[in-house]
Amino acid sequence: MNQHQPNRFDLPGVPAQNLWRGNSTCNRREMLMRSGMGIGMLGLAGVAAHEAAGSTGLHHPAKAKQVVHLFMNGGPSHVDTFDPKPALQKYHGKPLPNPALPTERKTGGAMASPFQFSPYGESGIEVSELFQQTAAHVDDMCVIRSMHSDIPNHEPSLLLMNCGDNIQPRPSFGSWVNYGLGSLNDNLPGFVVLCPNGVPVVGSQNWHSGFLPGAMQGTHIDTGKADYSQLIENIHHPQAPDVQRRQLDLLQSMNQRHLEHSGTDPQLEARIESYELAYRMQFEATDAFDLSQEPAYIHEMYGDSLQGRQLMLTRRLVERGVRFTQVWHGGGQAWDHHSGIESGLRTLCGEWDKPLAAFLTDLKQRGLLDSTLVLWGGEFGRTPVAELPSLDGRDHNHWGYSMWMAGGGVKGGHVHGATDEFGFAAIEDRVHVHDLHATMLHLMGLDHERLTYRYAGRDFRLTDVHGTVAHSILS
Amino acid sequence: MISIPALPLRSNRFVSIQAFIIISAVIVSAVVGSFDSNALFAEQAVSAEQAAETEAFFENKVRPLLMDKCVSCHGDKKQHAGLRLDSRHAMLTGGDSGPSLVPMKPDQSLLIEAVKRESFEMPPDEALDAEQVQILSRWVEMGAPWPGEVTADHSGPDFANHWAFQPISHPEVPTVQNADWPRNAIDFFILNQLEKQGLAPSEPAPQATLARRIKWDLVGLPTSFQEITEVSQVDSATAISAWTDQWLGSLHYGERTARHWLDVARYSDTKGYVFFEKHDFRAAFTYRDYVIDSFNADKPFDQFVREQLAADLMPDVPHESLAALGFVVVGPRFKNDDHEIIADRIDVVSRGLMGLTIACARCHDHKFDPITIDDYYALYGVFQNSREPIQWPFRSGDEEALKNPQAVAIRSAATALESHYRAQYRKVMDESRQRLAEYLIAAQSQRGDVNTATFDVVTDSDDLNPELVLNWKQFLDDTEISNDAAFLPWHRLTRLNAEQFAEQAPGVLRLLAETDSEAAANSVIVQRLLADAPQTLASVAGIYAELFDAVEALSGTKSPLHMPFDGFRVLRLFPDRPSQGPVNELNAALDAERAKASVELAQMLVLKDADELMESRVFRRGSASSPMHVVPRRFPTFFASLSDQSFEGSGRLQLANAIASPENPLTARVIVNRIWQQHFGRGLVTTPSNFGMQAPPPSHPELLDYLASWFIDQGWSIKSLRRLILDSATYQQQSYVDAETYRRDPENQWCSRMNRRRLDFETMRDALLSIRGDLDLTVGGPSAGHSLELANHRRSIYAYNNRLDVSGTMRLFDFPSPDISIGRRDQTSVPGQSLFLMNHPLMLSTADEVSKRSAAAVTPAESIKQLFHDVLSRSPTAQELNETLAFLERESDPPAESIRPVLDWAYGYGDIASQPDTLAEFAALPFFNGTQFQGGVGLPDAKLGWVFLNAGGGHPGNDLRHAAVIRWTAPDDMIVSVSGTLGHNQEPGDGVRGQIFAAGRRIAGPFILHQNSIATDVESISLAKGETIDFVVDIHGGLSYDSFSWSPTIAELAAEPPRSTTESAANAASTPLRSWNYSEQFRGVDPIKMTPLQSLAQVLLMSSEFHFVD
Repeated sequence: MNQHQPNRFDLPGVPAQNLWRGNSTCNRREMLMRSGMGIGMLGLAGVAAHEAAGSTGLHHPAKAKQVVHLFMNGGPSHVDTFDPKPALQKYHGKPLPNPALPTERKTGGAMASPFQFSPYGESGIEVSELFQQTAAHVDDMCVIRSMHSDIPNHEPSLLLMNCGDNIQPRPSFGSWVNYGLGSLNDNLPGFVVLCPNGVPVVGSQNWHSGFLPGAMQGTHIDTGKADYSQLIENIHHPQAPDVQRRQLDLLQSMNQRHLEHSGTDPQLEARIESYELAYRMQFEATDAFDLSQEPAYIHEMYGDSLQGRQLMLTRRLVERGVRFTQVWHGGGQAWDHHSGIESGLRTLCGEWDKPLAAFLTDLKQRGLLDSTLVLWGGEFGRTPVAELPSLDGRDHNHWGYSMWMAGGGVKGGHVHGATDEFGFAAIEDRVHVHDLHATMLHLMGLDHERLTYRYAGRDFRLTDVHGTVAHSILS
Repeated sequence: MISIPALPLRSNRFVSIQAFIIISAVIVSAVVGSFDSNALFAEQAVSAEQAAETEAFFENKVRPLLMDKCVSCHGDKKQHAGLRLDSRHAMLTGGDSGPSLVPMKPDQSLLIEAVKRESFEMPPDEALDAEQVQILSRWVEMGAPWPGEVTADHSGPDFANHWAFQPISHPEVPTVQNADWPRNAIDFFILNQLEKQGLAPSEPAPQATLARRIKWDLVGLPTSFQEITEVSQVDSATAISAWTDQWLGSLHYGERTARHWLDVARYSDTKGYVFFEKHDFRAAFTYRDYVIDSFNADKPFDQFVREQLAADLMPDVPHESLAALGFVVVGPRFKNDDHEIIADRIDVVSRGLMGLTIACARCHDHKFDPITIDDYYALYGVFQNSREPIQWPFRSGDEEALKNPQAVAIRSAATALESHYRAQYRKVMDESRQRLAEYLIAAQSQRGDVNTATFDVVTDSDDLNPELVLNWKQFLDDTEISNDAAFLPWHRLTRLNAEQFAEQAPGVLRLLAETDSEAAANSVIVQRLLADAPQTLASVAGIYAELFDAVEALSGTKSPLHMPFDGFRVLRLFPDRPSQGPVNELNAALDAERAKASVELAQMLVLKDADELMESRVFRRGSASSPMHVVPRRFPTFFASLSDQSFEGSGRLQLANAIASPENPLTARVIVNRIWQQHFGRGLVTTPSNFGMQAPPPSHPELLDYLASWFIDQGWSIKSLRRLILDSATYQQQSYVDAETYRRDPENQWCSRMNRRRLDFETMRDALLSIRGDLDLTVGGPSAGHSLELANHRRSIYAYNNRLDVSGTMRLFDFPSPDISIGRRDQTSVPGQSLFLMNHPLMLSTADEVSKRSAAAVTPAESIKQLFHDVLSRSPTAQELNETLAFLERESDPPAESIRPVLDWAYGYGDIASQPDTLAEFAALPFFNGTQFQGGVGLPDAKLGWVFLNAGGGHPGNDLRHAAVIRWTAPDDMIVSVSGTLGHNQEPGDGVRGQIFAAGRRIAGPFILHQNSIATDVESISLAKGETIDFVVDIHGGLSYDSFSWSPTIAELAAEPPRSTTESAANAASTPLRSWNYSEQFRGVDPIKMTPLQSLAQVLLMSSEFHFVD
């Protein structure tokens, strides 16, 4: 074994900013070429040869390299945020002229939004006062007002949004993307899930890898914890780095000799390389999570709040090439406003508005927004009619709701599709969750019909047998 | 998509593939009319890829479009204009206006005209968009291929000639040139192929390697240096054979083999996401123990299969073997969705036992294998009628167990829950009879409306039951299609609009009363309706309700009034929130009682046949809201030679017998291949749970058949099979491979060497514990503890397996998701694994323990030797000895930079409540999380509350007995000054209070502040060596928003005032005065100090040699 080459990772504390853009990937590629393995094979030694009939590499040029999925779990109300419905004023307290569609619970008459909508930006897209700071970016946003899904219950809808199926434990979106595209930074997980204070309904199924290799699953990080530096499993190295380095030098010498005595074995080569990656990861991952490195004005911009910290961290992860970052509002289902929706929304939107605006500003000023696809939304929306008996909340609504995307090749300042005049059901240019997935994969350079994995006798896809790319939202 | 085998070993297989391709050609160019076989062969063959593309196009684009847009009016429920658009045949036959398509001629096809709205305007409400029209046109242009219809026709591809569907043969042992090499029959098959491939077998593995390999394969435990020495001392052949027998006879053999089987059985201790129940099974381990015991007893595999499907229906099965049914029951619960639970069961049974992917036929006929959608729903009926009783049997026998009061408590908690379910069921059903008219009206008004079958609705307690409304809808659909005599009047009358109802109803009824009317209506009903002259549909419903007893359609078994208890999903029985409360409580109570049970009161997860059998229907596209025709419970028809009768009861016993039959071409082949894979890391068939048309053919088909038939002849003995495999020269090869051989056969499909295998998660952990010396080898019992807890010393198979929360570390080591049956684990090497090996406490503690044992040796070289013996079960080479000696020497040098300067600062909390002006009871904060000191891992800590200290300040504890204390200790007698600023910047709350104590007495403060900062300077303090200065902050009143910043600096002052400026400067230069700043010197706990031997031990524990078995 060649003796360990000193490199910049030997000294912890060296800022790792931009390191991921460096040539470490190239070195890795060379290493893999040398050992006769293709890129992406490292983690998959032994898998690809068997059941993985899937693809790696792009199907067509990509607009987006990375995804940030901001998940308002519980189901945010679209008619109070991004889908103004003046007709609700007229019918407030009265039954809608058309019978209400069936949802989970009993509902009464129409409920006007208590919030003021105003046009923003050059596009003049109307957004509620709840997101007035975020709305300053509306010219970079594509608001999809015609989302729809299958079922007005949380569990299936969460699974559909995250894994493309209402019930079956299928691999999550982030796993598929990492399976299809591989990692941009070998020193960090490719799929990071930030969720403070517990987990959402159906738990880790939301980001698991199902039948895809285990390494594709999301790494869940509880951002509710005080110390961000210790959030990746086993990243904390209890020994002094120089001691550990000397251990690894001896280890690698033994492993290399073992490899030579074993003949040709890519598994053993992969194992040797994985120790080096792990050693570097200890410093880069810790560094990525260290928010104290951010200057005061950035802290100021995001605000000193949980969501502010989450988004500041997200930006640091995007910068370092984490392929898919999912940011949850928090454990449970906070946005589930069956009652008290007015104050509830004021609180939750208040937590997000400033950080969201800061996040978009920050990505933009660093030139990251173009290649990062930001998705905001929940698992469904809420009814335009009030829920019985309290009449001050809204029931789940999968028939029609809003989500928005920004950056990553979507048309900014654009509204796609529409719900009916009350916001109950999507009626124009409808976008099913499968279509959303197909479109997002398209932006990532992947054809959702060709991103497949052979399992249990058939080729599986994120979109199963569905999904149509919504071409009109692409810039 | 369709693999063509490179080596057609039997000519008929070649023919079958040809036939399959030709059929595919027909799919693409579909000739109109009958599938005349001569016409088929006249067609030009197209590639398999094209066929697959056509299929994909149809399945992904065309079928969904037809289903979405057309079939609700032109399907089996409704046939507007006499037209159905749900099969190719129906479209060619057409409806009132003639055939709706002319294959390959879109411009002549009525279907295309209609969707272009050129003649008819279809769909009537919303036109298809251009892309959708294009899809249909292209499809017609292609000849309107409808792949499912062809596949369903078993006269098509010659499935019978697929290697896995043919009877298992008894091949002759082939001849070989190198007759010296083979040790048993296996080797003749392997060598015969190797010689054909121009490859040679490898050298036999060294005795030590073989000993480790065999023990790991059979019991999953490491082989000690001592054991290896002993084995190596005896003549090799007999020693290895005795060694094999020793471990085949070990109780740990069952554990190792069981773990492979538990992957197949998607074993977990929890149910996954459930709504009412507690997620813990509490009794899943009885199935796990059953599996271990069965393998240890070498239970014949066919018996093992039968018991797992039908132990309750078999004569002469010991009571405790009912636990076998856990195979079916331990699957995930999908929030109690029956359709998904049954799909999972069909999948585990078909893939797990027969290598058949029957679950693929849930939505349509299998695309590749001879499995129809009817076959799927025939099995659906089996599992739909196999229910889990709420009363689980006790493993020790109910009579014996119930002598124990805890068992009685469990029994009565279960009874309470069951009675509650039953009572609710009776209530709902009674009401459904009493409120029949309401149900009829509700169902009628929802017909054609949005379907709510797929989601849970929350209702009020006095609402109609939503499940029954759905049933009534279905019932009305059925009676309309079948022209049911009793409901003919109903369906006729529903066509009248409300305004003219009273006026027109008598005419409609009189027409029905005429004996020669086109359809016969039930005269009792018609006469009664005529007599009563109802004014509204509601009154018609009332009359139907009154006539209940006279109307067979209502009182018969197909009426929704006869919905069996087992037909209800729990959320459908309790759809309203108030009634859900007690269900939750009763479930929790039952779970609590079960949790208290000792292992003697373990219960078994069983199935029993439904009291009232339900018939199953095919669900169109797998959607429960689109039921179609009824199918009997039976075995897949392609395999009719195994079982061609409809099943009795649930049918589990007949199903089990058909699967475990020696005539079944799949079962023996599948298990033999699994066992082969367990010993070689690669199966003769590389898709162990899929032996269908899509599976790659076996590398050694004759060997597979030889082993399968031999296995059956040996009474399905798995131990015998393993003995045969382990005794072969093939298995006993070494794993070294040169570059040239590797290039020619990288996957080692021809077995010219042994495959090197990585320790799986469980055997890695077991090896670590075993080396550490505290592995608990108890066999069986309840699952307990997490496998990564240091305090858990049991073998990994006994660690609690929660399918809702499989640890990230285990997933990184390729532990499979227990949500799905897994036939083969991935074998990856990723950095996350290395992080575990480098940093996890389990690694460090193992290294610690093992190094302590070797530390006793007299010389470093002896210590190293001992370490190698303990971890790698061999002595070091001379080179290794030199290398590791150098390592130890290097590590023994005291590392200069890690010597900690005098301990000046301490981080703690103290009591300022007990005595005014004094700080009592300073204690250090016990936990450092990498950034700050605090009470424990989480904040607030259960004991110490919110108190923490970091480099910039901190937060006081919840009361005055837990004030935050930054302590500085004087290293010498000295005079110091203190400077600094205490800050608080949060608006809410009432701020904080700061004080400074010297030697325990207050010398400055209190500083009370809220959203401001105060200078906390003290000019001069005289201290003796060891005396302290304490910077103390408390919550000042209420606990809220009490974070503070404080970074005091302590500066040493000259002992005496300087006499002159010059002298002072000189003084300063010779003995510089010291200063200490809190923030700059803030430091967490030191890195742990490993002894050099511990460090070396960890290196060995991380080595490839340790983690891979040669």
